[in-house]
Amino acid sequence: MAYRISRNIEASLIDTITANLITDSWTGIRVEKSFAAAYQGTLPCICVNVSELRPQRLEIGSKTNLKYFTVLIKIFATSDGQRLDLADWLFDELEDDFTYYTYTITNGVVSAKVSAGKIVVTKWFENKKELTNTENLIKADRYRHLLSFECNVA
Amino acid sequence: MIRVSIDFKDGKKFENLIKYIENNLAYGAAQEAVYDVAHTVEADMKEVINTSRKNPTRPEDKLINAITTEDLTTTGGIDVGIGRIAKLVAEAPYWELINDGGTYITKATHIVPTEYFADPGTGFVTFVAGSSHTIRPVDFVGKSIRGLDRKLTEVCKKITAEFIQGMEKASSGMASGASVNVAAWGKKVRFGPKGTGGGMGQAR
Repeated sequence: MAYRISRNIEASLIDTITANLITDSWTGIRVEKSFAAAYQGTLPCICVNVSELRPQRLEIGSKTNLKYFTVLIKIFATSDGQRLDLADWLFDELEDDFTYYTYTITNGVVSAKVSAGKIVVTKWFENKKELTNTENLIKADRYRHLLSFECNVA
Repeated sequence: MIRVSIDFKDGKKFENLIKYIENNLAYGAAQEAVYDVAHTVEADMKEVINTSRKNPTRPEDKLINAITTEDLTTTGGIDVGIGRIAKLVAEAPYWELINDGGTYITKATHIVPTEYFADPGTGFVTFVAGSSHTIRPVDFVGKSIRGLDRKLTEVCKKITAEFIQGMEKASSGMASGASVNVAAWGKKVRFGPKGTGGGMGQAR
């Protein structure tokens, strides 16, 4: 089974972030796709999720749409300093275009991963601390950060 | 930087252009458009909550009722706030948890619908005091901010196009003053919360 574009973007982002964390000597940071999975393991964690798709007509008379995807990246940090450091690092990493891969899954495992273009961030929406009223929440929710942006595949 | 140079040989046409710009440097239509956008975004925000809910809608719904659009400034600029945080905290303190998601430690035993939780099922479940449960984010603020961004872009494009069209007509001598009554050109148009106790869905 081949992933469609939204899941390809998610998987490409997860692979890019995971690889760049290692390159930049971050250790012990999990990268997850599912919000619930972020809680099932050690902190810190980065959760990547494609939230919305906005189609836009390429030109008058054309039935082709340019597809813009809204991506939410949630950081679950262990301290406020780490939250800010990770947010700044992610922002810097995502400023540059990064590789878009297409994935084929066989028996639940990636059997093929092919470079098929670039993911370009076209607009930033949010870069902020989430959840200010945290006294009734568990530790994972105390130092959360949200980055949201729109991107397309070029 | 954009440089514009105007070289008019025809004094009358130049006068028409200046008259048009003067007549249309008013807030009227822009202000109206911003109000329309603000109220649409408020309705969209409530719609996002309503489509994600498990419980039936009720007239006394605290979260829905706590989201309001307020005119903060109407002179010298336009300030409209959507969702005053102080009001949300006072009337629906759980708004942030519904919006951002999180793991909540139950203070008292109660029965809740399973819709919002990370391991959703159908119906209701009893949570005993002291147990923790992960709530999935509805992201009604984020969705509204992104909707607001798109709507404002459309409004700005429309207003700019009409204004430039009017300038072209005026400078070509087709009309003086023209009928396009839009602008806020070169003046401050602000849309969003102001100072502390402001709201969300801010854009400027």
